[in-house]
Amino acid sequence: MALGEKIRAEGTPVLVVDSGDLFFMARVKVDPEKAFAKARLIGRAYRRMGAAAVNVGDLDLLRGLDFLHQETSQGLPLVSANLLDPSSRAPLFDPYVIQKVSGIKIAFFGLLSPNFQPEIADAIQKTVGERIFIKDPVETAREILLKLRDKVDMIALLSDLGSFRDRELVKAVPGIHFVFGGHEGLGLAQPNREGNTYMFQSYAKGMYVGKLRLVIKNPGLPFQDESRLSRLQEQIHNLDRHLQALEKQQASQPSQEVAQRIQWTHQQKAKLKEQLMQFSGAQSQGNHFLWTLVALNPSLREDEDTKGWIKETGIDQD
Amino acid sequence: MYEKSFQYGRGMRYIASILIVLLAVTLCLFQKAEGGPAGITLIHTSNVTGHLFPCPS
Repeated sequence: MALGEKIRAEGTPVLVVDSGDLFFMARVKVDPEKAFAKARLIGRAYRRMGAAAVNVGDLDLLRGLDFLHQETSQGLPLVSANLLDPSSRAPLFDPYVIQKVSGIKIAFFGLLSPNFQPEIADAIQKTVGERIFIKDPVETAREILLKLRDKVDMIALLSDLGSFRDRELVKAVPGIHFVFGGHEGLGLAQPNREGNTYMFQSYAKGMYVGKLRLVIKNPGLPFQDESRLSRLQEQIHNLDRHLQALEKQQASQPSQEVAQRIQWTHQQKAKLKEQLMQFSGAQSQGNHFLWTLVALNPSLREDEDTKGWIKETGIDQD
Repeated sequence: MYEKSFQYGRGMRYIASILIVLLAVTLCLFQKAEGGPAGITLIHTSNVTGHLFPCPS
């Protein structure tokens, strides 16, 4: 919450999104009263942060649909495009939300996997088995993109599919700008890329949040990863140091092998320099982003109201 | 001769200042039409799984 406020204070609009598995943990043998109390607090905190979209993950289904519908009615923007009513095949939550920020329309849609992890499959079956139908994510994504393509400038997927399925989906359904993934609780310091789609992961249990800073000049153009510039500069710098060492070696003990290595390193450096020039040109004309994982360490100021809500419930540890 | 060139100089300065004002107005209008790049920050969380207190990272 403090991080969002800090960025907003800098004058940049902030959108908070969650890719699912927000409320409940996989361990089923937890005091249900405590689990609901914590889930309600989390829902309240996300509403206070003004969350733009929260995807429904498989773990969120562990304690039934009623709690999730209550959260929706209180203003939490839960989304899921492939969680459907089994008889009407109508979505149980909004399939997507559209946010307009700085003149840019961004759609967030949510997906979850039809294949539950074995340890929770029975529990989900017991609580919501008869009340849900999970449609194929790829088919759903295709339909959603057809619907949204002309309505918005950018499309983002909040995914509880897992990184492998995210990649498969993006290959099968091009046109998604960003995938904010979860499910396995992995973190990615550098985004995965498939075509013009970038995929992000932000770890689990509130250890980190992912921060994606976007600079949009023309939403129709592909995005460039700003961190690639610094990585290229670093690679060139490393090659320079390597060259210096090789040239020193060649000066003291000349050999054919070292001469070849010097030549090869020069070629590598020239290639990287060309990439750097191309990248700098593309970045100055097009859209770019910078992705960072921010550790939620104690130095970040806590929101006093939220602290008060937690205190009221008497919960002092997870 | 001096008076003529003085007048000529004044005229040039007058024209130059009009041109500068026109240029500034055009630049302002162009910038407004073009618009600067949009900046947006997204904060992403995942798999919070009911944790109220962040785990040590």
